Amino acid sequence: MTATPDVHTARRRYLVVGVIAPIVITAIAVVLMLVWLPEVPATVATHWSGDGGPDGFAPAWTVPLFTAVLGAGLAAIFAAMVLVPSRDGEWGPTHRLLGAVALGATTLLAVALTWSFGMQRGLDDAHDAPGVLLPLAVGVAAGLLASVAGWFAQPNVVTSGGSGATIQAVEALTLTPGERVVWVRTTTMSAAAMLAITAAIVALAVGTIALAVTGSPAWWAMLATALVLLVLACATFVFRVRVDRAGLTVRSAIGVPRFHIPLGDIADAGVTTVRPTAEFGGWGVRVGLDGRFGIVLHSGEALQVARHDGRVFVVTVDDAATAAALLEALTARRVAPSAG
Amino acid sequence: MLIRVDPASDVPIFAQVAASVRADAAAGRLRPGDRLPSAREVASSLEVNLHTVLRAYQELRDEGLVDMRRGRGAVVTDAVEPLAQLHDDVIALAQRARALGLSPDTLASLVKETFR
Repeated sequence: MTATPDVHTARRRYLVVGVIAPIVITAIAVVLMLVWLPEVPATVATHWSGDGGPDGFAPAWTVPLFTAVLGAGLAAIFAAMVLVPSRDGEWGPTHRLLGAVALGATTLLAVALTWSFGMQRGLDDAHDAPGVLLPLAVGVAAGLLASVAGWFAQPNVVTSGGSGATIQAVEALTLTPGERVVWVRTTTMSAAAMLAITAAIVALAVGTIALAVTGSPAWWAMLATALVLLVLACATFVFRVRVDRAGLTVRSAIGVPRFHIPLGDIADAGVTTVRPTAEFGGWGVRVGLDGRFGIVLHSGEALQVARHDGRVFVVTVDDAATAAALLEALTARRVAPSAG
Repeated sequence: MLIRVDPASDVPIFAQVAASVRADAAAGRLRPGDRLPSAREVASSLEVNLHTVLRAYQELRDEGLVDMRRGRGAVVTDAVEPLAQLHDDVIALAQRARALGLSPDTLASLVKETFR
Protein backbone atom coordinates (compact mmCIF):
# COMPACT_ATOMS: atom_id res chain seq x y z
CA MET A 1 0.00 0.00 0.00
CA THR A 2 1.43 3.38 -0.95
CA ALA A 3 0.86 6.32 1.35
CA THR A 4 -1.80 8.76 0.22
CA PRO A 5 -1.28 12.56 0.40
CA ASP A 6 -3.56 12.49 3.48
CA VAL A 7 -1.20 10.18 5.30
CA HIS A 8 1.79 12.33 4.30
CA THR A 9 0.01 15.34 5.80
CA ALA A 10 -0.85 13.38 8.95
CA ARG A 11 2.74 12.17 9.35
CA ARG A 12 4.15 15.67 8.85
CA ARG A 13 1.69 17.08 11.38
CA TYR A 14 2.58 14.30 13.82
CA LEU A 15 6.24 15.24 13.40
CA VAL A 16 5.39 18.82 14.49
CA VAL A 17 3.03 17.90 17.34
CA GLY A 18 4.67 14.74 18.67
CA VAL A 19 8.38 15.32 18.00
CA ILE A 20 9.36 18.94 17.27
CA ALA A 21 7.04 20.63 19.81
CA PRO A 22 8.08 18.28 22.69
CA ILE A 23 11.77 18.80 21.84
CA VAL A 24 11.32 22.60 21.78
CA ILE A 25 9.48 22.47 25.14
CA THR A 26 12.23 20.26 26.59
CA ALA A 27 14.90 22.63 25.24
CA ILE A 28 13.19 25.64 26.86
CA ALA A 29 12.99 23.76 30.19
CA VAL A 30 16.66 22.76 30.01
CA VAL A 31 17.82 26.31 29.12
CA LEU A 32 15.81 27.78 32.02
CA MET A 33 17.33 25.24 34.43
CA LEU A 34 20.86 25.99 33.18
CA VAL A 35 20.24 29.72 33.66
CA TRP A 36 19.00 29.06 37.21
CA LEU A 37 21.76 26.58 38.03
CA PRO A 38 24.02 29.13 39.88
CA GLU A 39 21.07 30.25 42.06
CA VAL A 40 19.94 26.85 43.40
CA PRO A 41 21.69 24.82 46.14
CA ALA A 42 24.41 22.42 44.88
CA THR A 43 22.15 19.57 45.96
CA VAL A 44 18.49 20.01 45.07
CA ALA A 45 15.33 18.20 46.09
CA THR A 46 14.19 15.85 43.29
CA HIS A 47 11.56 13.78 45.04
CA TRP A 48 8.82 14.58 47.48
CA SER A 49 7.10 12.28 49.97
CA GLY A 50 3.36 11.78 50.16
CA ASP A 51 2.97 14.38 52.93
CA GLY A 52 4.58 17.13 50.86
CA GLY A 53 8.15 17.48 52.17
CA PRO A 54 11.18 16.69 50.03
CA ASP A 55 12.68 13.22 50.63
CA GLY A 56 14.95 12.68 47.63
CA PHE A 57 17.97 14.75 46.64
CA ALA A 58 20.46 14.88 43.78
CA PRO A 59 23.25 17.15 42.51
CA ALA A 60 21.65 20.17 40.82
CA TRP A 61 23.36 19.59 37.45
CA THR A 62 21.69 16.19 37.05
CA VAL A 63 18.20 17.71 36.80
CA PRO A 64 18.66 19.51 33.44
CA LEU A 65 20.50 16.44 32.12
CA PHE A 66 17.69 14.12 33.26
CA THR A 67 15.10 16.45 31.74
CA ALA A 68 16.92 16.54 28.39
CA VAL A 69 17.31 12.75 28.23
CA LEU A 70 13.72 12.13 29.31
CA GLY A 71 12.24 14.68 26.90
CA ALA A 72 14.25 13.49 23.91
CA GLY A 73 13.73 9.83 24.86
CA LEU A 74 9.94 10.21 25.12
CA ALA A 75 9.74 11.93 21.75
CA ALA A 76 11.94 9.21 20.20
CA ILE A 77 9.91 6.32 21.69
CA PHE A 78 6.58 7.80 20.57
CA ALA A 79 7.99 8.58 17.12
CA ALA A 80 9.29 5.02 16.78
CA MET A 81 5.87 3.65 17.81
CA VAL A 82 4.02 5.82 15.31
CA LEU A 83 6.21 6.69 12.36
CA VAL A 84 7.93 3.33 11.82
CA PRO A 85 4.84 1.06 11.58
CA SER A 86 2.95 3.68 9.52
CA ARG A 87 5.58 3.82 6.76
CA ASP A 88 3.50 1.56 4.54
CA GLY A 89 0.69 4.09 4.49
CA GLU A 90 -1.45 3.08 7.47
CA TRP A 91 -2.88 5.84 9.64
CA GLY A 92 -5.60 5.93 12.26
CA PRO A 93 -6.90 7.71 15.35
CA THR A 94 -4.40 5.81 17.52
CA HIS A 95 -1.51 7.60 15.81
CA ARG A 96 -3.22 10.93 16.37
CA LEU A 97 -3.79 10.07 20.04
CA LEU A 98 -0.16 9.03 20.54
CA GLY A 99 0.97 12.38 19.09
CA ALA A 100 -1.29 14.24 21.50
CA VAL A 101 -0.11 12.10 24.43
CA ALA A 102 3.57 12.65 23.52
CA LEU A 103 3.01 16.41 23.61
CA GLY A 104 0.97 16.28 26.83
CA ALA A 105 3.39 14.03 28.70
CA THR A 106 6.38 16.18 27.74
CA THR A 107 4.54 19.35 28.80
CA LEU A 108 3.64 17.80 32.17
CA LEU A 109 7.25 16.72 32.79
CA ALA A 110 8.74 20.02 31.61
CA VAL A 111 6.41 22.17 33.73
CA ALA A 112 6.67 20.04 36.88
CA LEU A 113 10.45 19.56 36.67
CA THR A 114 11.24 23.18 35.74
CA TRP A 115 8.93 24.63 38.38
CA SER A 116 10.12 22.37 41.19
CA PHE A 117 13.73 23.18 40.18
CA GLY A 118 13.10 26.92 39.84
CA MET A 119 11.31 27.25 43.21
CA GLN A 120 14.54 26.19 44.95
CA ARG A 121 16.38 29.31 43.78
CA GLY A 122 17.85 31.28 46.70
CA LEU A 123 17.54 28.36 49.16
CA ASP A 124 20.58 27.45 51.27
CA ASP A 125 19.39 23.93 51.96
CA ALA A 126 17.18 21.88 49.65
CA HIS A 127 15.45 20.37 52.73
CA ASP A 128 13.60 23.69 52.98
CA ALA A 129 12.09 23.24 49.51
CA PRO A 130 8.36 23.94 49.43
CA GLY A 131 5.77 21.29 48.53
CA VAL A 132 5.51 20.03 44.98
CA LEU A 133 1.73 19.85 44.81
CA LEU A 134 1.21 23.15 42.99
CA PRO A 135 3.87 22.50 40.29
CA LEU A 136 2.38 19.03 39.75
CA ALA A 137 -1.19 20.30 39.52
CA VAL A 138 -0.23 23.05 37.08
CA GLY A 139 1.87 20.50 35.14
CA VAL A 140 -1.07 18.10 34.84
CA ALA A 141 -3.40 20.89 33.75
CA ALA A 142 -0.87 22.17 31.20
CA GLY A 143 -0.27 18.62 29.99
CA LEU A 144 -3.99 18.01 29.48
CA LEU A 145 -4.39 21.30 27.63
CA ALA A 146 -1.39 20.50 25.44
CA SER A 147 -2.82 17.04 24.67
CA VAL A 148 -6.16 18.47 23.63
CA ALA A 149 -4.43 21.12 21.50
CA GLY A 150 -2.19 18.43 20.02
CA TRP A 151 -5.20 16.27 19.15
CA PHE A 152 -6.98 19.05 17.28
CA ALA A 153 -3.77 20.24 15.61
CA GLN A 154 -3.66 16.93 13.73
CA PRO A 155 -5.94 15.99 10.84
CA ASN A 156 -8.45 13.16 11.19
CA VAL A 157 -7.05 10.63 8.73
CA VAL A 158 -8.17 7.00 8.70
CA THR A 159 -6.76 4.70 6.05
CA SER A 160 -7.80 1.32 7.37
CA GLY A 161 -10.31 -0.23 9.71
CA GLY A 162 -12.53 2.16 11.54
CA SER A 163 -14.96 2.66 8.70
CA GLY A 164 -15.94 -1.00 8.46
CA ALA A 165 -15.71 -0.55 4.70
CA THR A 166 -12.67 -2.79 4.53
CA ILE A 167 -14.66 -5.92 5.35
CA GLN A 168 -14.77 -8.46 2.57
CA ALA A 169 -18.02 -10.30 2.43
CA VAL A 170 -17.75 -14.05 1.91
CA GLU A 171 -20.06 -16.47 0.21
CA ALA A 172 -21.75 -18.80 2.68
CA LEU A 173 -20.46 -22.36 2.75
CA THR A 174 -22.88 -24.78 1.07
CA LEU A 175 -24.37 -27.09 3.69
CA THR A 176 -26.75 -29.99 3.27
CA PRO A 177 -29.80 -29.69 5.59
CA GLY A 178 -28.64 -32.11 8.30
CA GLU A 179 -24.93 -31.50 7.95
CA ARG A 180 -22.89 -30.77 11.10
CA VAL A 181 -19.76 -28.69 10.75
CA VAL A 182 -17.06 -27.38 13.05
CA TRP A 183 -14.17 -25.06 12.22
CA VAL A 184 -11.31 -24.82 14.71
CA ARG A 185 -8.06 -22.93 14.53
CA THR A 186 -5.33 -21.84 16.93
CA THR A 187 -4.09 -18.27 16.70
CA THR A 188 -0.83 -17.17 18.28
CA MET A 189 0.55 -13.75 19.08
CA SER A 190 3.35 -12.58 16.76
CA ALA A 191 6.82 -13.29 18.11
CA ALA A 192 7.74 -9.60 18.10
CA ALA A 193 4.74 -8.65 20.25
CA MET A 194 5.37 -11.53 22.68
CA LEU A 195 9.00 -10.45 22.96
CA ALA A 196 8.06 -6.81 23.59
CA ILE A 197 5.51 -7.72 26.27
CA THR A 198 7.86 -10.19 27.97
CA ALA A 199 10.68 -7.61 27.88
CA ALA A 200 8.41 -4.99 29.49
CA ILE A 201 7.48 -7.39 32.30
CA VAL A 202 11.11 -8.40 32.83
CA ALA A 203 12.01 -4.69 33.04
CA LEU A 204 9.31 -4.24 35.66
CA ALA A 205 10.63 -7.25 37.59
CA VAL A 206 14.17 -5.83 37.49
CA GLY A 207 12.77 -2.52 38.74
CA THR A 208 11.02 -4.40 41.55
CA ILE A 209 14.25 -6.07 42.61
CA ALA A 210 16.05 -2.72 42.52
CA LEU A 211 13.34 -1.20 44.72
CA ALA A 212 13.46 -4.14 47.14
CA VAL A 213 17.26 -3.83 47.40
CA THR A 214 17.04 -0.11 48.18
CA GLY A 215 14.46 -0.92 50.87
CA SER A 216 11.57 1.05 49.37
CA PRO A 217 8.24 -0.15 50.78
CA ALA A 218 6.64 0.04 47.32
CA TRP A 219 8.35 -3.12 46.08
CA TRP A 220 5.56 -5.50 47.00
CA ALA A 221 3.03 -3.44 45.04
CA MET A 222 5.38 -3.53 42.06
CA LEU A 223 5.80 -7.29 42.48
CA ALA A 224 2.05 -7.80 42.55
CA THR A 225 1.71 -5.67 39.41
CA ALA A 226 4.43 -7.66 37.65
CA LEU A 227 2.77 -10.97 38.57
CA VAL A 228 -0.68 -9.81 37.44
CA LEU A 229 0.79 -8.58 34.16
CA LEU A 230 2.61 -11.88 33.69
CA VAL A 231 -0.60 -13.89 34.14
CA LEU A 232 -2.54 -11.52 31.88
CA ALA A 233 0.16 -11.75 29.22
CA CYS A 234 0.31 -15.55 29.31
CA ALA A 235 -3.48 -15.69 29.07
CA THR A 236 -3.46 -13.67 25.86
CA PHE A 237 -0.61 -15.25 23.89
CA VAL A 238 -2.54 -18.17 22.37
CA PHE A 239 -6.25 -18.45 21.57
CA ARG A 240 -8.39 -21.22 20.15
CA VAL A 241 -11.07 -20.02 17.73
CA ARG A 242 -14.07 -22.28 17.11
CA VAL A 243 -17.13 -21.96 14.89
CA ASP A 244 -19.92 -24.52 15.29
CA ARG A 245 -23.65 -24.82 15.93
CA ALA A 246 -23.16 -22.81 19.15
CA GLY A 247 -21.73 -19.83 17.28
CA LEU A 248 -18.29 -18.29 17.63
CA THR A 249 -16.13 -19.20 20.62
CA VAL A 250 -12.68 -17.70 21.25
CA ARG A 251 -10.93 -19.23 24.22
CA SER A 252 -7.47 -18.61 25.66
CA ALA A 253 -5.16 -21.63 25.69
CA ILE A 254 -5.32 -21.60 29.51
CA GLY A 255 -9.14 -21.48 29.55
CA VAL A 256 -9.78 -17.87 30.48
CA PRO A 257 -10.50 -15.37 29.09
CA ARG A 258 -13.20 -16.85 26.90
CA PHE A 259 -15.48 -14.99 24.50
CA HIS A 260 -18.62 -16.41 22.99
CA ILE A 261 -21.10 -15.04 20.46
CA PRO A 262 -24.21 -17.20 19.95
CA LEU A 263 -25.35 -17.76 16.36
CA GLY A 264 -28.56 -15.85 17.10
CA ASP A 265 -26.62 -12.67 17.90
CA ILE A 266 -24.67 -12.65 14.66
CA ALA A 267 -25.80 -10.22 11.98
CA ASP A 268 -22.99 -10.93 9.57
CA ALA A 269 -19.47 -12.28 9.35
CA GLY A 270 -16.64 -11.27 7.05
CA VAL A 271 -12.91 -11.08 6.60
CA THR A 272 -10.84 -8.00 7.32
CA THR A 273 -7.18 -7.06 7.53
CA VAL A 274 -6.00 -5.83 10.91
CA ARG A 275 -3.09 -3.47 11.56
CA PRO A 276 -2.63 -3.84 15.33
CA THR A 277 -0.94 -0.50 16.13
CA ALA A 278 -2.96 1.59 13.69
CA GLU A 279 -6.36 0.24 14.66
CA PHE A 280 -6.03 -1.15 18.18
CA GLY A 281 -2.96 0.59 19.57
CA GLY A 282 -1.15 -2.68 20.16
CA TRP A 283 -1.63 -6.39 20.71
CA GLY A 284 -3.82 -8.49 22.99
CA VAL A 285 -7.45 -8.21 24.07
CA ARG A 286 -8.26 -4.68 23.02
CA VAL A 287 -10.90 -2.14 22.17
CA GLY A 288 -10.16 -0.22 18.99
CA LEU A 289 -10.65 3.53 18.96
CA ASP A 290 -13.54 2.93 16.55
CA GLY A 291 -15.25 0.78 19.20
CA ARG A 292 -14.51 -2.64 17.74
CA PHE A 293 -13.62 -5.29 20.33
CA GLY A 294 -10.66 -7.33 19.23
CA ILE A 295 -8.47 -10.29 20.03
CA VAL A 296 -5.51 -8.81 18.19
CA LEU A 297 -2.51 -11.14 18.14
CA HIS A 298 -0.81 -10.34 14.86
CA SER A 299 -1.25 -8.21 11.76
CA GLY A 300 -3.09 -9.54 8.76
CA GLU A 301 -6.15 -11.69 8.21
CA ALA A 302 -8.94 -11.48 10.77
CA LEU A 303 -12.48 -12.72 11.26
CA GLN A 304 -14.89 -9.86 11.88
CA VAL A 305 -18.38 -10.47 13.26
CA ALA A 306 -21.08 -7.81 13.57
CA ARG A 307 -23.85 -8.44 16.09
CA HIS A 308 -27.45 -7.40 15.71
CA ASP A 309 -26.96 -4.74 18.39
CA GLY A 310 -24.19 -3.15 16.31
CA ARG A 311 -21.23 -4.29 18.37
CA VAL A 312 -18.33 -5.62 16.33
CA PHE A 313 -15.94 -8.40 17.34
CA VAL A 314 -12.61 -9.05 15.61
CA VAL A 315 -10.15 -11.91 16.03
CA THR A 316 -6.93 -12.20 14.04
CA VAL A 317 -6.78 -15.75 12.70
CA ASP A 318 -5.59 -17.47 9.52
CA ASP A 319 -8.12 -18.99 7.14
CA ALA A 320 -10.70 -16.48 8.44
CA ALA A 321 -12.56 -16.75 5.12
CA THR A 322 -13.59 -20.34 5.89
CA ALA A 323 -14.72 -19.37 9.38
CA ALA A 324 -16.77 -16.45 8.05
CA ALA A 325 -18.29 -18.63 5.30
CA LEU A 326 -19.31 -21.23 7.89
CA LEU A 327 -20.78 -18.60 10.24
CA GLU A 328 -22.78 -17.13 7.36
CA ALA A 329 -24.08 -20.60 6.43
CA LEU A 330 -24.98 -21.56 10.00
CA THR A 331 -26.69 -18.22 10.64
CA ALA A 332 -28.68 -18.52 7.40
CA ARG A 333 -29.73 -22.06 8.27
CA ARG A 334 -30.82 -20.96 11.72
CA VAL A 335 -32.96 -18.14 10.30
CA ALA A 336 -34.51 -20.30 7.56
CA PRO A 337 -34.15 -23.97 8.56
CA SER A 338 -36.25 -25.20 5.65
CA ALA A 339 -34.05 -23.44 3.13
CA GLY A 340 -31.15 -25.49 4.44
CA MET B 1 -9.51 -26.73 10.08
CA LEU B 2 -12.96 -27.62 8.87
CA ILE B 3 -14.64 -30.88 9.84
CA ARG B 4 -18.02 -31.69 8.32
CA VAL B 5 -20.21 -34.74 8.79
CA ASP B 6 -23.58 -35.54 7.28
CA PRO B 7 -25.51 -38.15 9.29
CA ALA B 8 -27.74 -38.76 6.23
CA SER B 9 -24.77 -39.93 4.18
CA ASP B 10 -23.98 -43.64 3.62
CA VAL B 11 -20.36 -43.01 4.57
CA PRO B 12 -19.70 -43.81 8.26
CA ILE B 13 -19.28 -40.71 10.46
CA PHE B 14 -15.74 -41.63 11.51
CA ALA B 15 -14.73 -41.89 7.83
CA GLN B 16 -16.28 -38.46 7.15
CA VAL B 17 -14.28 -36.94 10.01
CA ALA B 18 -11.06 -38.51 8.71
CA ALA B 19 -11.85 -37.39 5.17
CA SER B 20 -12.36 -33.80 6.37
CA VAL B 21 -8.93 -33.77 8.01
CA ARG B 22 -7.38 -35.29 4.87
CA ALA B 23 -9.06 -32.64 2.71
CA ASP B 24 -7.72 -29.89 4.99
CA ALA B 25 -4.24 -31.36 4.72
CA ALA B 26 -4.54 -31.57 0.95
CA ALA B 27 -5.73 -27.96 0.76
CA GLY B 28 -2.62 -26.87 2.65
CA ARG B 29 -4.63 -25.70 5.65
CA LEU B 30 -2.79 -28.14 7.92
CA ARG B 31 0.97 -27.87 8.33
CA PRO B 32 3.32 -30.39 9.93
CA GLY B 33 3.35 -29.76 13.70
CA ASP B 34 -0.23 -28.41 13.80
CA ARG B 35 -2.42 -29.96 16.47
CA LEU B 36 -5.82 -31.35 15.63
CA PRO B 37 -8.57 -30.12 17.93
CA SER B 38 -9.15 -32.44 20.85
CA ALA B 39 -11.45 -35.36 20.10
CA ARG B 40 -13.73 -34.25 22.92
CA GLU B 41 -14.09 -30.75 21.43
CA VAL B 42 -14.89 -32.11 17.98
CA ALA B 43 -17.34 -34.69 19.37
CA SER B 44 -19.31 -32.11 21.34
CA SER B 45 -19.35 -29.59 18.48
CA LEU B 46 -20.57 -32.17 15.98
CA GLU B 47 -22.86 -33.95 18.45
CA VAL B 48 -21.24 -37.29 17.73
CA ASN B 49 -19.79 -39.93 20.01
CA LEU B 50 -16.28 -39.31 21.36
CA HIS B 51 -15.21 -42.80 20.22
CA THR B 52 -16.30 -41.99 16.66
CA VAL B 53 -13.84 -39.07 16.57
CA LEU B 54 -11.12 -41.13 18.25
CA ARG B 55 -11.61 -43.86 15.66
CA ALA B 56 -11.17 -41.27 12.88
CA TYR B 57 -7.98 -39.97 14.51
CA GLN B 58 -6.70 -43.55 14.84
CA GLU B 59 -7.32 -44.13 11.15
CA LEU B 60 -5.32 -40.97 10.36
CA ARG B 61 -2.55 -42.22 12.64
CA ASP B 62 -2.50 -45.57 10.84
CA GLU B 63 -2.07 -43.64 7.57
CA GLY B 64 0.83 -41.75 9.16
CA LEU B 65 -0.85 -38.34 8.76
CA VAL B 66 -0.89 -37.65 12.50
CA ASP B 67 1.06 -38.69 15.55
CA MET B 68 -0.92 -39.46 18.70
CA ARG B 69 0.99 -38.36 21.77
CA ARG B 70 -0.14 -38.61 25.33
CA GLY B 71 -0.91 -35.14 26.65
CA ARG B 72 -0.33 -33.44 23.30
CA GLY B 73 -3.19 -34.93 21.34
CA ALA B 74 -3.00 -35.57 17.60
CA VAL B 75 -0.13 -33.76 15.88
CA VAL B 76 0.12 -33.47 12.09
CA THR B 77 3.22 -35.14 10.62
CA ASP B 78 5.41 -34.38 7.59
CA ALA B 79 3.26 -36.85 5.63
CA VAL B 80 0.80 -34.03 4.80
CA GLU B 81 3.32 -32.38 2.44
CA PRO B 82 2.78 -34.80 -0.49
CA LEU B 83 -0.99 -34.42 -0.06
CA ALA B 84 -0.70 -30.64 -0.33
CA GLN B 85 1.52 -30.98 -3.41
CA LEU B 86 -1.15 -33.07 -5.16
CA HIS B 87 -3.89 -30.59 -4.26
CA ASP B 88 -4.05 -28.72 -7.60
CA ASP B 89 -3.87 -31.93 -9.64
CA VAL B 90 -6.70 -33.51 -7.65
CA ILE B 91 -8.92 -30.45 -8.10
CA ALA B 92 -8.22 -30.38 -11.83
CA LEU B 93 -8.94 -34.09 -12.16
CA ALA B 94 -12.17 -33.85 -10.16
CA GLN B 95 -13.36 -30.90 -12.25
CA ARG B 96 -12.60 -32.77 -15.46
CA ALA B 97 -14.42 -35.88 -14.21
CA ARG B 98 -17.45 -33.78 -13.25
CA ALA B 99 -17.48 -32.12 -16.65
CA LEU B 100 -17.43 -35.57 -18.26
CA GLY B 101 -20.31 -36.70 -16.08
CA LEU B 102 -18.39 -39.27 -14.02
CA SER B 103 -19.57 -40.01 -10.48
CA PRO B 104 -17.12 -39.54 -7.58
CA ASP B 105 -17.17 -43.30 -6.96
CA THR B 106 -16.33 -44.09 -10.57
CA LEU B 107 -13.43 -41.63 -10.51
CA ALA B 108 -12.19 -43.06 -7.17
CA SER B 109 -12.23 -46.64 -8.46
CA LEU B 110 -10.58 -45.58 -11.72
CA VAL B 111 -7.77 -43.89 -9.78
CA LYS B 112 -7.44 -46.89 -7.49
CA GLU B 113 -7.28 -49.28 -10.44
CA THR B 114 -4.66 -47.20 -12.23
CA PHE B 115 -2.59 -46.82 -9.09
CA ARG B 116 -2.35 -50.54 -8.48
